[in-house]
Amino acid sequence: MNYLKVDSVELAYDGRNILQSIFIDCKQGEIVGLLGRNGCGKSSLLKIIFGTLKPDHKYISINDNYIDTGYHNSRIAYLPQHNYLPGGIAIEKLARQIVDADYWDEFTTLLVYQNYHKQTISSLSGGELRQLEIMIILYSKADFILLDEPFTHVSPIQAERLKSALRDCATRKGIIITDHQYRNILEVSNRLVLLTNGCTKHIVHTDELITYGYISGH
Amino acid sequence: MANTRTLIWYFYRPIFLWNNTFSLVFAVLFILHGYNTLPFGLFFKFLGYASTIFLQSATTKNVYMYYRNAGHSTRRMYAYVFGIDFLIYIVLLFVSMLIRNELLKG
Repeated sequence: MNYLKVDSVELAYDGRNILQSIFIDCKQGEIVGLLGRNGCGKSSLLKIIFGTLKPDHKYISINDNYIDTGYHNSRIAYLPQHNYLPGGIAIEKLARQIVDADYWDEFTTLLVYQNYHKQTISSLSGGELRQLEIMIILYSKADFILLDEPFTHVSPIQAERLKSALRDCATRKGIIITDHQYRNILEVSNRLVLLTNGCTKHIVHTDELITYGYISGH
Repeated sequence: MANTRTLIWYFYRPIFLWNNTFSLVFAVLFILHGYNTLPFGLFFKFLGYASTIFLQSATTKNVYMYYRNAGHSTRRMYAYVFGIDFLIYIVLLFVSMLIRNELLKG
């Protein structure tokens, strides 16, 4: 079973500590929910794990093998907050470069793919594009998936489908997910980690989210 | 490898015209003014590469994530496409030399 470990991450901007004493881990088969207030460093932490942001210090390993850049050899895939698919290329061609060949047939049964696979991303609405981008990441070759706000721009019915897809995906991969729609995160996650004051707190009971001031008690 | 070749083409496609315009313009300058222009040609090409990186980073930086999710760093993608582009430039320059020689003979 694959095991991702992120330890001793330190990040500072202009002398201000953004991340310190960070520890987060994820096993294949689980969804870890990463919660935290705006600007607390959730996206920065995901980018550090993915390898696109260089921190002052980090130790990231998969199965105890140190990795410097998460995306090399497609070990880790990352859904950024913004759209990432290039324009002007048919969706089928774009998807083929990232989607795992072993799951290609399953991927092609998705409605959003079937409706638009011959077209470019300009044919899709914002919600459909987001849905497609999420599914491409979930069906990627990567062992670990990092999702930054996947529920944004997604309608309630699509959110339900997404949660189901996440659970399916988690049977073969490890997922770290963050979103401000925390109820969705609570529902879909096996474990919760709260990022507060630059440190990770492992949440055992949701009442602790009130204690740490992430949600109000009312 | 087929996957990498396809990704290189996807990365090169939006900047193909821009960079080859630099090559073509210099090829014409070379035909007209000869070997003295060669050092300028190199500077001209690197100006094209610098402007490409600047324009791409300013306008379509988001798509870098697509290539990273496919397992390739942006630096590696630029190295591939600029390498190919420079080869095209060299071939174009060679053809320009032949044309210039023919014109001088004529």
